[in-house]
Amino acid sequence: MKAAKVVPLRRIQGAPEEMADAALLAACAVGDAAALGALFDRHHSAVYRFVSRSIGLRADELDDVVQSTFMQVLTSAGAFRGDSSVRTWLFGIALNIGRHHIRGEVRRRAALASARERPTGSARTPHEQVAQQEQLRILERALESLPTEQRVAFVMCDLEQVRGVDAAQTLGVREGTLYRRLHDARRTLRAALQGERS
Amino acid sequence: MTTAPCPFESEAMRLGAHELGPELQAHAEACARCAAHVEANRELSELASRLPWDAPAPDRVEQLRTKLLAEAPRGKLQVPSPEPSPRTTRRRAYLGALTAAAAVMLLWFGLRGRPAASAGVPRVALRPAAGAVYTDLDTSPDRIVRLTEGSLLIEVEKLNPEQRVRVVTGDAEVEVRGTSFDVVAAKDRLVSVWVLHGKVEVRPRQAAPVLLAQGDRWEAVPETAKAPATIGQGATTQPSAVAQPAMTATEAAPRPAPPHATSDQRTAARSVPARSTPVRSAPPMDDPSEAAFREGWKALKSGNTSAAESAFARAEKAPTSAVSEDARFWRAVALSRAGKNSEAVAAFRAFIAAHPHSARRGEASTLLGRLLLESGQHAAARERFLDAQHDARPEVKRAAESGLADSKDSASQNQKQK
Repeated sequence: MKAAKVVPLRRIQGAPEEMADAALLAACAVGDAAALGALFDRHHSAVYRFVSRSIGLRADELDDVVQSTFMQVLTSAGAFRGDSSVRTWLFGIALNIGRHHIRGEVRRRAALASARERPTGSARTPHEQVAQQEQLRILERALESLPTEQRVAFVMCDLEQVRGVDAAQTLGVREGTLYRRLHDARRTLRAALQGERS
Repeated sequence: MTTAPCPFESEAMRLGAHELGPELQAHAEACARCAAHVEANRELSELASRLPWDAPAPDRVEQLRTKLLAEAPRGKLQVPSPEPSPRTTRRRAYLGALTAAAAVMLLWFGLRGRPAASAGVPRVALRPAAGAVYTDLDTSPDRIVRLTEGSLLIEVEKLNPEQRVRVVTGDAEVEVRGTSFDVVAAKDRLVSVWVLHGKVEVRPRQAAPVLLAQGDRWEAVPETAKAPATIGQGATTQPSAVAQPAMTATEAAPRPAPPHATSDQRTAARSVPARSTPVRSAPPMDDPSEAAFREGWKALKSGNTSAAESAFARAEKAPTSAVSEDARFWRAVALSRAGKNSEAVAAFRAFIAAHPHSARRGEASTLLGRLLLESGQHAAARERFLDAQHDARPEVKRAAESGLADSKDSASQNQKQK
């Protein structure tokens, strides 16, 4: 087979790195792989974190979801309307792709539970450390037990700091629905933490 | 402050701390009920942000990035797919034989008259064997050849530090260091790499990277085979300069393997899925820089650091030398062993600046960090240890972590003394 079309793949440096996300996305829409590389450099960590916390997948599945997310950028970039940030838009793509990787609730919970043994927190004294570890353990279990839609709303809004209006649009629900899910999630999580304290 | 019902309460309860506008923030300062909701949301959000997540290792991210960019043109730009047509199906029936034949062929043609250097774009000559299926993503300064099937002879001129040339298959990537080599893939899997000249780094996805020098050959183990991992003729080991994390730079300097070690020196302790294969010997080296490198290594091994430093300096001065990168690294090691710390610091810095993508960058950073720590430059040392933490090799990572801990201890001791 003859060599295929030439595509720029350089890691964007200098001035292009200062390009806005939307400009990079516009470049992706016309097949600029360099822009795709720059978007990946900028957002892969947030996408990994979002998928890991909101869906829960094995490491290899996470890789697949993140790769598929950025691959889809090339085909969907033209559909980006600028209603939300590019990062939030990427979360929406990742969420749709990630859901296909989860075949059932049992598997999802097992994947989320796999994170339990990892070191967490940044408490200063041993006493604080133990207390914080315990709180995080409770919180993690409570988060894991939330219905998916509430967990996604909580991770997107309270952990990834996405505005409610943008999260609602990305998830395709009304703003009121989004805030109700968020409220329910917070209430459940607080109840779990307070139950332990009392 | 008031505790009466507040018209803003539902807003304060609903919005996260990051969504509060200045008006609501100002209100919350005066309203106890709203302040309590805002604080409760902030507290929960802060605690939850400490929950663990599957942060990918830097090498995994790099692999993913490379794979993404190598695959991207297929999705977007309608690059011809390697899906079998009737013609390619017939062709693939012969692929096993083709692959074997390609591996046996020593494609020495084209080694003369290598392309001239250019400032920005790495010059790469691809010579595909019949039936090779590949996509050439010709870029600047990063070039990726996506090989799916068959054999390619690749010639690359000496690269500038910022230039990269990689051959990517579904399960591995081969990073070129200025060389000629033959690479074979089958069904999107790397089958073999044979270095005719210069250096090549093979990075299987599921194993540690392997640096191959002239005459070396790497072959993947067939899926059914369970043979122990070894490397073919001429492979160089990569002695770790940071095998003992707690060592000082001078102590940690390794005993280097020669650039073309004997096979028994090379086969040990590799987790790479490769096996020995009888191959033709490479022609004897008569390059003065390589002779100087061997002289330097011999001197360093015998403890004559002064002679070693001098020989490595000669070896690194030849800009087209395939060993200049190694020579630059070992010269810095020789200087640190000789106790010439300030010169060693400069040499390690020069090495990192000249070879930012070197496989030895992590080691160099760790050794440099130790030297800086000894001279009381805690911040600079910490920066180097942080850099070394990205190294793929566990021993280098451990050394970097140990260095970070030591730099923290030293800094706190200094503060106490003050």
